[in-house]
Amino acid sequence: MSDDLDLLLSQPLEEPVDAAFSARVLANIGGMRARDDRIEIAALVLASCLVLTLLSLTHAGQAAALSASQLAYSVPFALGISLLFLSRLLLDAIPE
Amino acid sequence: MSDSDRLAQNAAQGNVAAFAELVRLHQGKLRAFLRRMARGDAALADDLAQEAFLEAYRKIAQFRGEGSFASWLAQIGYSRYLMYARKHKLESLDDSIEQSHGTEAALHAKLDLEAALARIHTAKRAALTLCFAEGYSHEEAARIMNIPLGTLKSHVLRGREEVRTMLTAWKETP
Repeated sequence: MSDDLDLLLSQPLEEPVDAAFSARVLANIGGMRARDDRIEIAALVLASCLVLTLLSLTHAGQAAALSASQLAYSVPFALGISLLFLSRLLLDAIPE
Repeated sequence: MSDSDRLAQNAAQGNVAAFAELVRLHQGKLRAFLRRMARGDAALADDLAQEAFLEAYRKIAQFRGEGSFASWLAQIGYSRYLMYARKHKLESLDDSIEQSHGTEAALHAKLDLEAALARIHTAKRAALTLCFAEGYSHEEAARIMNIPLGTLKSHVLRGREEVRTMLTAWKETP
């Protein structure tokens, strides 16, 4: 009985056919990645806004704003350019 | 290093195509294991397998290659099944199944085996499946189930004995 039982137990499990299972998993992974990307971008924008707000309260930030106005650019424009630059830097820093 | 382990390393570096290949290679084995764990409930097994693959994708960077990718995936799948079973109190089903076994006495030996395995405790069912049908060593099976080696061996011995007792009793039932 033991030998028969071991033989029975050792029979490989019958593997179900794929039947689009893999495709469904990969579609869910795609959705998960898209969601993660959106969260990442929102976090980056928030972080950038926070950094720029804090920067505008410092001497360096005010000096930068003054320089910008002296160069005939408005402060919002300078901050906007800085925001874009900072976002790009942060995006580049994130591994693929 | 196996092909799967190499693919897992590529996937850990962000290669989605490598992970897609891992899904195609391992879906059959994982789903079959979870079907045995879920007592033949194919829909539940596929849902759990899907969740296991998503978790594996999230954690792929944690795969260190200490065991095989297949055993790492089985570990995630088994843990998913345990969480589901605890949440839905699946083990309590054992009693109701036990009462109806006499009607199945004439089933084919393979079906009898599945019926007997469905009646034993989850850990024993997993231990027997991993060590016999899946061909894992005792050490690998213990790692997959996250239990000490001694406990795993005890599950194998006792589970096998319980299955043997059930099959013998059913054979003797007219």
